[in-house]
Amino acid sequence: MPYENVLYKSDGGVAWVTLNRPQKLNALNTGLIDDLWSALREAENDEQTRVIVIRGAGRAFCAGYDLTPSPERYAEQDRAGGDAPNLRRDIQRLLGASKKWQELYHIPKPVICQVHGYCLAAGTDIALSSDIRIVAEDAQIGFPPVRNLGTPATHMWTYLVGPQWTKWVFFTGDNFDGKTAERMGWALKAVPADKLEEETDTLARRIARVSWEMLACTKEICNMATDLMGRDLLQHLAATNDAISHQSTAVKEFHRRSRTEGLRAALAWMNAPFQEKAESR
Amino acid sequence: MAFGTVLYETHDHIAWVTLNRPEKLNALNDVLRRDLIAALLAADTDDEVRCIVLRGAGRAFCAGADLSPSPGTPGGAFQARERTMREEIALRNRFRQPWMALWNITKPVICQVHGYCLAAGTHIATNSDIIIAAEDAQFGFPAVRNVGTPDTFMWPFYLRPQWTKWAMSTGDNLSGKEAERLGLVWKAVPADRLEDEVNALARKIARVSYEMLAASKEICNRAMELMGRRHLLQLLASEMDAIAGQSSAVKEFRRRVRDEGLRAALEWMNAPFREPQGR
Repeated sequence: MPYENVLYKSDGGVAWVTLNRPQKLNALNTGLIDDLWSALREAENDEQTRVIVIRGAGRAFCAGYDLTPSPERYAEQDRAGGDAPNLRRDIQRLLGASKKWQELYHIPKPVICQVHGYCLAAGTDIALSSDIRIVAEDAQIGFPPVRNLGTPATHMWTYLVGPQWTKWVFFTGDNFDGKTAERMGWALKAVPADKLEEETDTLARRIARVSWEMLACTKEICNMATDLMGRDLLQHLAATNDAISHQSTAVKEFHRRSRTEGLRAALAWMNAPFQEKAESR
Repeated sequence: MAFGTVLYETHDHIAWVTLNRPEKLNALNDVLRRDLIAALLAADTDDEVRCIVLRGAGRAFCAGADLSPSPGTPGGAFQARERTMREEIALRNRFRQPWMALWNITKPVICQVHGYCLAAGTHIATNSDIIIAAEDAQFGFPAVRNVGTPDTFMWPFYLRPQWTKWAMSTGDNLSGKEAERLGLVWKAVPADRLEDEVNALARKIARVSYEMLAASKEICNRAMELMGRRHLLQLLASEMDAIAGQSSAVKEFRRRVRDEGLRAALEWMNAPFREPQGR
């Protein structure tokens, strides 16, 4: 079934779901998120599909939420109280966003996330809510909004890469490449960009030889292990924590600049102090 | 500026907190514990400070708890009267206060490790946020042989269970380089580049506002709390250490400290482990 913002094909037990707003580096807006979910539900309900692959068309996997100021975004911000968000409403809004990625985590079929180019901010929510990440060695992964916009509203990082890597990523907002992602344990495997699709395809087909029931059971028991470490409750705490960070002057200043000077100027202001080369990790 | 045995200076939004008992390889006694807590709280409440660096003066970061029975360790591990189990547990909960204070600091803490980082020294490092070490630093918990088990236990959050169990069952050390490979240390660099490396990261972190840094730290620490950090790994660790204290091996070690001195007791403890580690 065709979607406006997502390409979908199913072949040999593998459903390929491709984010398709390449001119915006697949930045997530309502249209893209809705289409992504329709496609994921189609794959979940298709009895022929055993494995789902999520990837991005064009230069990047996903650059995060689309922050372009728009009537739609203003309305959403105003619902939460504008530049001085009402704390409780902001928490509800963030819980709503986080719930989407938690549903991805709960899809009873293995999900492989194929990452190339940028995988930033909410792009990492998709990747980390998937089961396995295969990345291009030169991919750029990170969460720059921790500088002036907000902390992740979902939090899978500590489970997947441990506290020390998580804190480095969150304290600096620096990106890391695919090779480092492999070393951190963020990715199962990093391969040269031109081998990425082949590598993903090989793994997906291999998984697809196992029956749906077995895959659902193995996924569920691994998820339960993480859930016993408090995952569900942590997502609520993450939303609250993010909402509290939105009350800080740094975040308010970012939004003020975004409205009065435009998104590009606000991002430049946010990233200016970090322009010199990131520490070589 | 100094808090007794701890040097303290701030510049460019960074607080440098330096353990300063170099003649004892910064071994922790009650005075150093108290001064460390005071310095950390000063940094956490100073509005100008955004990032804290912890390090040690002299040849080593920290060789662990000061085991010498001296006036400097009132209520220390070696006193005449036999304590009850409850008292033993309470004693360990008191010893743990500096690491708990460290864990509760709301600002990022970088731990700069050179030379030895042993036993309770690893408690300081692992309750910090990011550890940067000299490649030739030595991390380990030799005390598990005959002195006691960790009374705070953060290792499992950094290392896979297998490596934690190896370190805790042999008491053998890891170099800074090995510690980086296994995940105990974020980054290992040649000793002469250690301070530069720490400085560069601290300056970068200090560009982010306090609110954002505190939010980032809080949620990551909450994740560890939900994995049972406080109840399982801290309170239970104290009880486990108190139980270990009942063993004849630990009692023999204490007897030797009393009768023959600390050096002889340590020699007795480490003698069976002299041959190469063979890993």
